[in-house]
Amino acid sequence: MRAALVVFVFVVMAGCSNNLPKQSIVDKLRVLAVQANPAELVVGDSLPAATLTALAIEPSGAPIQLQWALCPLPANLPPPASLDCPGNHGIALPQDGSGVARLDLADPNAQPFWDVLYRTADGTPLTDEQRASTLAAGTTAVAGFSSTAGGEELDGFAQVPLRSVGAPINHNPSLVGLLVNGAELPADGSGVLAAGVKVRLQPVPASDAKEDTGNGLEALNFSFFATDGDISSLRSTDQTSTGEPADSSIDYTTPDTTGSVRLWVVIRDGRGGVGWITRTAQVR
Amino acid sequence: MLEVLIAVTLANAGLSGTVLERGTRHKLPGIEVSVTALERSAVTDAEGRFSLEDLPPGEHEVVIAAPGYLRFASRETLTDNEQLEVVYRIEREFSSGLEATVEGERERQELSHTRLGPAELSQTAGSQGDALKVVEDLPGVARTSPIGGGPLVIRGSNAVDSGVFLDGHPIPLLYHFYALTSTFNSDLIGAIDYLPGNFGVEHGDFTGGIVDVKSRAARDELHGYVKTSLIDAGALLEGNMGIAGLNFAIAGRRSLIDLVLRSVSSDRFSFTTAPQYYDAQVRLDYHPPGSAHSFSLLGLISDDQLGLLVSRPADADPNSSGDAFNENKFSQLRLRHGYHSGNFSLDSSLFAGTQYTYARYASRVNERINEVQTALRSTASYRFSDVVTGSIGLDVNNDHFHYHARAPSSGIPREGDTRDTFRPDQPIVDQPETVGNRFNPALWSELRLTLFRGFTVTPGVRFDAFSYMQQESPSFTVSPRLAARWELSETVALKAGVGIYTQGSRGADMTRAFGNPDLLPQRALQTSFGTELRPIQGVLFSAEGFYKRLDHIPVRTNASVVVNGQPVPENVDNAGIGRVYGGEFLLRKELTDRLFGWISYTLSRSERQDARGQPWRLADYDQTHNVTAVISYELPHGWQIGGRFRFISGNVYTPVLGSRYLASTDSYVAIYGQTNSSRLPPFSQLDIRVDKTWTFDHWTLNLFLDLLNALNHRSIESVAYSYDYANHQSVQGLPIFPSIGLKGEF
Repeated sequence: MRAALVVFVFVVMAGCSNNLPKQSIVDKLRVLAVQANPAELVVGDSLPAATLTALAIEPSGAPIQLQWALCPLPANLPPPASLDCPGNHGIALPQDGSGVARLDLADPNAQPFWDVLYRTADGTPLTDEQRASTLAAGTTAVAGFSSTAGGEELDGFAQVPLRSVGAPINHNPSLVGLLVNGAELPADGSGVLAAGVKVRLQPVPASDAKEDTGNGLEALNFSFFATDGDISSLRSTDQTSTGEPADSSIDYTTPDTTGSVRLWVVIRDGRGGVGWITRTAQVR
Repeated sequence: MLEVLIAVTLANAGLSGTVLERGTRHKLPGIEVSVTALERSAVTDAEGRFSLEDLPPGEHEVVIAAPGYLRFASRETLTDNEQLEVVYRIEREFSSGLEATVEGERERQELSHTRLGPAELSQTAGSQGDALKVVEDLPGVARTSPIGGGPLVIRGSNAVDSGVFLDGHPIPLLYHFYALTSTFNSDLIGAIDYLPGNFGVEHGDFTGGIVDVKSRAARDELHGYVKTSLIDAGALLEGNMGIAGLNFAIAGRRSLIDLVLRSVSSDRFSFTTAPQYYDAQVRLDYHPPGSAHSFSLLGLISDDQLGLLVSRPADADPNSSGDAFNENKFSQLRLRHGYHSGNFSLDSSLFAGTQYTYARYASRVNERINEVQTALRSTASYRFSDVVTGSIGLDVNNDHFHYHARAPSSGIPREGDTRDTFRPDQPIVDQPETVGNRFNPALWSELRLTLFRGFTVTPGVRFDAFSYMQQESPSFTVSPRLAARWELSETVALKAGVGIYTQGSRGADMTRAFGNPDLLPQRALQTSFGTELRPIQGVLFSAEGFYKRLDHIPVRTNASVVVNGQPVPENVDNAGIGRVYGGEFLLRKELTDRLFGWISYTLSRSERQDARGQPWRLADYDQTHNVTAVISYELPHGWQIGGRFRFISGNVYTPVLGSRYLASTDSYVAIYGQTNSSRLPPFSQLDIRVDKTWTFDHWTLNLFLDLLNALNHRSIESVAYSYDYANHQSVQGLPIFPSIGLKGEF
């Protein structure tokens, strides 16, 4: 299929420079990641549950409201962008005061989710054999969210892996530090960066971040964000998806003007596990 | 230039010799050689030889003043009882393209038919010397690539619905890297016939148009060249093999761009295999003198390779790092036999080919396809009388393939798709190693009837069967077609046609994982009506209106089907409908020694309905207005200059209304408006080509500069969006782009 080359060229060329706003710069309401805890929903003797936490940012500090819903969809169907969930096509999820939602697939209100999961896209029920194989192979539970702050709105989906028991459960990876030119950037915000210079950022995963998938160790992918300055590459990885080692550090050019700058690094393990780290530094 | 070879003592003085064309060494028949003072002359025969006997001894001026050639004069001294043998090389007044022989042409008259000859194919501005790209400048052909080439879209059909044939059998891959340069050497092309619609029953399994490339016979005199450009280098050698009527040609070409690009890298990617391609052709022609039989054997190979290591994931997909590689390779062998005797002709060809496609991209795509293709075409024609000519033909094609694929479930890009179709959270489908087979035999018959003077009708019918290994039962189609032509006078003709065209599914559509083995053949009803005017010799004006109705178009579906007792995605069904209508106008100055050119204008509309009851929408390559003007003119002293101007409606695109964030892939998916409901600004471009040819005794040297976008006018090619689709900017096309080539030819 020539789609391979088309997609390949598209993805590579997508990194070519243009004058459009960069995803690595956070200058408006953004959601940079959603963490499910646990990282997987594993169906065993009981139906699973997880909390959903969004890394939602509003640079000016305006309060952020979040609304969550479980979106009933056939197994392995990517959620359509226009899906009204939260909304008419969603099952509202309870949440605490800090915007953390609870996704409980054992909740009787979640029954429509299971009814639709075991159907094809046109509503045809799956056979019992297909139901079992769907969970054994793994699918996703889709949760939709709507975030608002200061007149801005951002909607999105979080896809949480869902499967039956079998392989060891996956855990969310975590970051323990961020190095700037080899030196730890303090977590208390006391770090200082010179204005208008290029520095090297190196994320430091926790020692247990890389788990064995059964086919080798996970590859860890990193995404870099800042409120100001210029990030050379939104993403890096310590190992490509085909196993070649790679350099996970990137270049960051600090802002020309003095002030504070916030940095985020999100870590993903490619199997639904997510973590992040936040740092603030003073630019002088 | 004079060259004295031998002096032979005979009873009387005389002068004999050979007249050749300087540079090409062609033997020139029909050239008058004069001894002006004696008012004696002789005309060269088919081998370029002349002989003047019984000349008085002494010094004489010999003159050759042939049309199209510079005046030649030489003083010869004849002695008593001597026969002087000479070779005269005369120079063309204006350099022009090679003459080519295209053998085995069955007399026919297609309804809509434009033929391009060697000079037009090699010297049209903007085509970079590539014959196939010149077809883009003809009415009805959409512009689909910024550098020419790209998918072939004819009269609003989908890209896969038009066929490119080389001597009657399809070429699987038209261009290296999909748009760079064609995979078949343009210098081995004798002519290209462009049939945009309502073509005869000889062609089938396509519902769009036909580009019929006819290779030329190998020359019987030694000829060759070496050439190079900015992107590739090649050579050709041909001539007679020492047996009368047995000639050969061999050609090869290899890319040069990889020599430059292999050192290109960044912190994002590096080449593991710099983009490279090669192709080669071998041809044998055997036409025994005086025989009604002729044979030809044509072999060709082509290979494209590209490999990358992406060390940083792309912004659009955090899982998109890793090794990527793509190879497309094919080889083909064609054996043709022609027999022409009196009122009967028989043309047959056997075809065998292999095709190999391998693509891998990170961990998301791994696809390998091995195909073996065989075919037999045979056409018999008999001219019963001046009124009736009948033809029957057999057209059998078999495609046997092994494939396995790991790829996003969306499969191949389809007409009407948006970028969302290839979003990074698409589930990956694994299709294990599978064997498949596509068998398409066809039988056709056609009559050409001259009902009265100047009025001919050509009814025909074609029977096709489409049989797939994974299909329970084959499909059968019947395609009746009718064309009529009325020569009202020597200068005015009317033409009309109507017909049914069918096309079986191909490629991934034949697979259960990405397509639907139960798809029915697509179908098209094509109608056209037009006129041709030839107001003066060498000038043609053609106007033609057309309407096409398409149905059973494969389109995406969310429906499921039951296979082995289990519901599975159907992926694709035959619910699509299309309609295309418009008019084409062509004013053409046919090739003479110095000038050729044409102006074409197409006004058209191409629409699709993705299922019955859904609203009509524009097709991906709908281009309402398409104006192309081409001209090429030979100047003295080996100079040639040409230009091409195009004005084409902007491409349609689907507007974005908003977006949603996907947390699992840290990317955004667009919320789209109505498919293809917006249009970019019009495209316009001027290309200029300059050739300079130096002619020496035994060889010529040609240097060309083909300047694409000579005015550096940056048309808008597409729209680029920010990561969340909240902002967008126009993507401009290529700037001024030179293509330079050098060719030494003997």
